[in-house]
Amino acid sequence: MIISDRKLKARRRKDNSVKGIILSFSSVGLLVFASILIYIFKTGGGLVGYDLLISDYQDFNTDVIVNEVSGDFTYSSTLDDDEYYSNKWDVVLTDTKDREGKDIVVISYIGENSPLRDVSDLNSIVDSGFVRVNIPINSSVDSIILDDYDFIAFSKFGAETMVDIMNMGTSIDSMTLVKEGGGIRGSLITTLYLIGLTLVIAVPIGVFSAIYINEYARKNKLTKYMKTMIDMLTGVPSIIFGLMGAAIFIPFVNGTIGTSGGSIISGALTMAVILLPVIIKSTEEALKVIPFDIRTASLSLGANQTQTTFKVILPSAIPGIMTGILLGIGRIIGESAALIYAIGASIKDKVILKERSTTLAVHIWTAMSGDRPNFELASAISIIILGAVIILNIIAKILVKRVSKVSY
Amino acid sequence: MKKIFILIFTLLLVTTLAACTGNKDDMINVYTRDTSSGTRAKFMSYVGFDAAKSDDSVLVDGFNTAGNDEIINAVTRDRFAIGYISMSTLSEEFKALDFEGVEATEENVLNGSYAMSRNFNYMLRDSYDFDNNGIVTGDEETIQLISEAWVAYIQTKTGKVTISGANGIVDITTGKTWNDILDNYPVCSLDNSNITIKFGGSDSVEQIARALSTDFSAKCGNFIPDHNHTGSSNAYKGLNGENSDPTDNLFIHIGFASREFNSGEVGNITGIMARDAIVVVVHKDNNLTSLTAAQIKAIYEGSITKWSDLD
Amino acid sequence: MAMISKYVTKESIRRKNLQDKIVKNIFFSSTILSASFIILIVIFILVKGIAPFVSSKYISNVNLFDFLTGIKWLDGATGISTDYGVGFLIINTIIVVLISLLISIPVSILTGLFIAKIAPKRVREIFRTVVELLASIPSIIYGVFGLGVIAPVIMNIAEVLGFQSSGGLSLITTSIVLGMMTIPTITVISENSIRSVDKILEEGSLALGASPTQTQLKVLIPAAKSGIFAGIILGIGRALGEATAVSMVSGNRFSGLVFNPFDTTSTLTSRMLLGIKETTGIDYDIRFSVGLVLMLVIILANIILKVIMKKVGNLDDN
Repeated sequence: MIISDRKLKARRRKDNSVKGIILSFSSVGLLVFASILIYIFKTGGGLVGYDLLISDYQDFNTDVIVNEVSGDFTYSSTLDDDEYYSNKWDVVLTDTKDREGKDIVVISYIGENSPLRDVSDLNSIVDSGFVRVNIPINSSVDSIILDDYDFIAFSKFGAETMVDIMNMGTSIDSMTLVKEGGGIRGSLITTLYLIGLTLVIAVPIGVFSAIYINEYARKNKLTKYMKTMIDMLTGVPSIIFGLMGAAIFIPFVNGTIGTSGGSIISGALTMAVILLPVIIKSTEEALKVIPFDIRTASLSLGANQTQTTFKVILPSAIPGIMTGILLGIGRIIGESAALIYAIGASIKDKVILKERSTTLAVHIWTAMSGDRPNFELASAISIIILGAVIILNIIAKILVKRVSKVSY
Repeated sequence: MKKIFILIFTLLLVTTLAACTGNKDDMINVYTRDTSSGTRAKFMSYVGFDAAKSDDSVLVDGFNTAGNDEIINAVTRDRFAIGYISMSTLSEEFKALDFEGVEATEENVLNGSYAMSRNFNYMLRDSYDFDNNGIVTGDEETIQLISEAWVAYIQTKTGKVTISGANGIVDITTGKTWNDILDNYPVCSLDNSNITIKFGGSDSVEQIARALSTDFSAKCGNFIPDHNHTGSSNAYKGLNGENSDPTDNLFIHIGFASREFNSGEVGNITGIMARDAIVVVVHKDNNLTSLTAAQIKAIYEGSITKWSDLD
Repeated sequence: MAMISKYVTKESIRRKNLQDKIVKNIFFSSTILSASFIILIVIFILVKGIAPFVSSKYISNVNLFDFLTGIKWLDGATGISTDYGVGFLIINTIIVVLISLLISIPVSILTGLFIAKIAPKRVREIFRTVVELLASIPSIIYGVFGLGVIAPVIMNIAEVLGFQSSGGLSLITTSIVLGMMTIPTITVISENSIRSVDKILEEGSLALGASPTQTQLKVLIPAAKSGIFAGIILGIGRALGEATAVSMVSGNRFSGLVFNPFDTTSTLTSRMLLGIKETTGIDYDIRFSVGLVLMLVIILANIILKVIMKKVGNLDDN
């Protein structure tokens, strides 16, 4: 059959337009990925930094008393729009925002001769009186009490009004400085604790189960049922695992260790169950690749099955097991729904295994509920989580490539 | 080709369904506190809708239940939302409506012209014997002493400045400073950094409670504050009522209510911490400036359902 | 051989056998433990989920029929309400998931086709990596993205069209987010299925004069049908069970069936997460009942879809 030129051209045009549609649909995935990355970097990029990782979540207040009275000063540089100078105290107060987007006032400049260079901590009483301290630059100030409560300046009034009120008084009886919190150190530590504890529980159980199924078990119905039971775990949604954790593990841990309510321990037990299928599957895959003859050879040399397993088989399976572990870690870092139920959602600075705390993902969830969804913090933590997950995936892929290169 | 047709057809179907059943932009999106909220109880009595104090079934269809913070969230983003919150949590990101023509300000609360005012009350536990061994020692005693010191603290000028800074209404001019009475509370000179004090109850009070606990923690051995605010009704329950056992989720040491404690909620140590008011709030772009009690009741019971009915 | 003579004695053989027995038992117990979790989950959720309907420890029990068919969820006085209903949640969940499939199925199948057959090698690797990375993005990040980017866009669209929306939190936003999340799942499986279609079919079609595109659309995809369908079933399972992202963008509606894409909605999973920090008593336990309903819905969906898959498969073979 000969097709005319015209028909061919028409068909090619139709083909190309269809190809165009396929191409555009396919790029949706790429578009989504790029948009997510762009959004979280644009929104949270500014917040990510060493101090975000290290700081407390709680604000920390210090009350200081200024030991000298006000004077008269002048300021030589120019002031920006948000900056206001007090000529009685030789300081500049600035309107700015904290990590959670709330408006705060900071002391951005303290003059050489300013009375605020000589302050003492009101909450630190030693024999010789109050301990002298230095006000760090850019400290956030919450309230200033002057002249025995005659004048009180609150940060909610804004820097300009605060300076006006400050100028009315001659002595500062008490000034509340705030070391702004909003840091994620607690959640970071909680995530690391959770990973460690979960792996300690899940890896032995998972690896041992995989070894049993692959090396020891006979191919009977019992084995088949057990394999199906384990496989069914993969289809369960995370929130159901959360319910399980709340229903089984929280009371269990309460009863045995004496905690009250959720804890990192109950969370680890829950995550261990979620990870079991992952670890079992990777271990099984790794074991299957090892040729059968190696086992026979080892046994014929006089080793018992235990020695064969631990000294011959397991070492070869380690890359595969590691892959499972890496995927599992990624899962733990990203998990939210299950942990909200199995641990709880209370952001802590001091992380105790027996108590509730939030992981990074749950911290995001907490930051986004409440009166002001904190997109900046959520995006910043997302950058950290995504970075970790991507790195783990890359390492796992490299491991898989190395394993497949090994030939027996 | 067939697939494309199916796709287009479905889209048309969806759009038609939306058009038929959908809200044209006018319906009032009603938010309320849940039935354990002291704010709700007071609010409903002020607008003359007593039946709705603890009963959801008399409210308009399609209402939403939310806490103080979530109502703020809603009116900030949703142009059609209306809700009521504590005056201490007002901010510029949304709009506060006048009540019966009176603006919601601290002065108007103090001079009595703004009608929807109320007290923030606190209560302590009666029993600190957490392990039920008959005596209060060690950490139990420390928690009791810190709680009692806290009560003294909120009555000092220092404490009241903190309350005022967090938008609670108090009279700062009376009382001693914390440093004046510090010596009466030796527990605050100890290192309490392994003690957790649990605060709970009304979430209208949460902002003030958190400011107080941050400030007082630095003054009293750096104890760890733990806040779980779930509603005024849960204050008494978590202190001396059905949820007061240490293993209970709602167990607390210091509780707050945004209403008066009723006759069934008895505690040895209780009192008024600050004054506050309830404010009706809407989105910044909403044209309204004031509502009467009758109008508010009509909105919440469903006899007024559209914003255009209020002009 | 010297190794054997040094170690093989009666004593050592017995020791080794004992060691084997102990270790084997440890391994066996681990397996039994692993296998028993699914049973434990079912039992505990069943028990806790049924309690609000039958147990006497509550002031009043919830009526099962009202629960299953109810179109609103009223909390009442905390812990005492009996006006819990999941009927509307079930239907809203199904609607949300179906609409999300409208987005993810075409995109996934075509992307799978593209990766399997059309893309040059370099591009293929890039796309595959992107899809894998999309699959490993935690759901909470999709939630943040949905709230920060998609919700405002939907809010603007709604305004332009003259519809009311609650700041962009809506049915359509939820479906878009769910669609984005299920694309990787269905794409990977579709790609595999298309790639593993017998070459003979492809070559035969080309030999008969069909263009590559015609071949792909009319021969390959239908041939890979059962694999693609299995991928869709997996995607549906994931979408039904997704909790965090949905709770952030759905608006958490308390009553009513939602068909308008710009109205707020809620699903079984979002209902389970709502107010989780503040609950006690029956309000906490009823979430297990919702979880039970969720699992039943997922199982039912799987069964129905598998039956459909078989029927369609049989029709074809004729």
